[in-house]
Amino acid sequence: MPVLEAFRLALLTIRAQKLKSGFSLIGVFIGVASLIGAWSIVNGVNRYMTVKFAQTLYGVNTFQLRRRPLFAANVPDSVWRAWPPPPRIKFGDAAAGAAAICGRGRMTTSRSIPPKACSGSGRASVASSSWCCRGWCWSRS
Amino acid sequence: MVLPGVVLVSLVIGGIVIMNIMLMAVAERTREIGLRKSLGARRRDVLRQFLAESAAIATVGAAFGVVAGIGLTFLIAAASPLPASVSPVSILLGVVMGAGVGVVAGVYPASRAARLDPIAALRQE
Repeated sequence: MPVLEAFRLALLTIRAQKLKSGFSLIGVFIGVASLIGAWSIVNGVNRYMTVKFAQTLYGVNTFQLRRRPLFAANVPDSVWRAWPPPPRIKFGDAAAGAAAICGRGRMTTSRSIPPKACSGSGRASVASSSWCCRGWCWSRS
Repeated sequence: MVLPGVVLVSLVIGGIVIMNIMLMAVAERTREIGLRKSLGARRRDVLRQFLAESAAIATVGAAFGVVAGIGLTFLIAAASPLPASVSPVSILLGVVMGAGVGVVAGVYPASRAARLDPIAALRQE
């Protein structure tokens, strides 16, 4: 008997005994549905952590307005002193930065960073919808 | 650890149920098997018939499970803060595992049906 004929016969038998076949496939049904559900949650959380959390935290998705460069390796003191003193950065400068980056006010400050950190580095990212610091608020439009 | 455990237990239970149903089918259809064998069906044909039946049941169950799993994923993504996205690998794995459970669970009932003596099978009431 060819394989296709065997499967045709099997499907005819399943159709003839719907209730019995239905109950017997419930176990596989639940198993496969929970497998896909569990896999999807793990997959989604993994992607979320990679895209949102790691990229925001480690800088791919982060814009920082700093007075001095964050990394200035192997710069001798003489060169450092020769550079003109950088201007002081104020919170008002962030507005120009936000307009230059996005144009739609997508520059926000992460909720995870406490307000004190804001006063130090003015760190900004796109992690939250709105946040205020010292009377200056950013929000996602 | 909990979710893979639930998946494994569900698949094992599904396999046991399928095996039970197939054993019942073999017992119910003993005369049919005897008739087929007396008309010239070989062991291989009977084996293939019952294996195909259990594999078909499991594959249909897996197909419904895939649809339900995708629905569950969208439900989770919509109703909870958990970000969930369906992966094609999980769909493939689900179908393969479902069909595999059916084939594994169908081997014993099918081999029992294939080993039936046609004379004894036809004599059975």
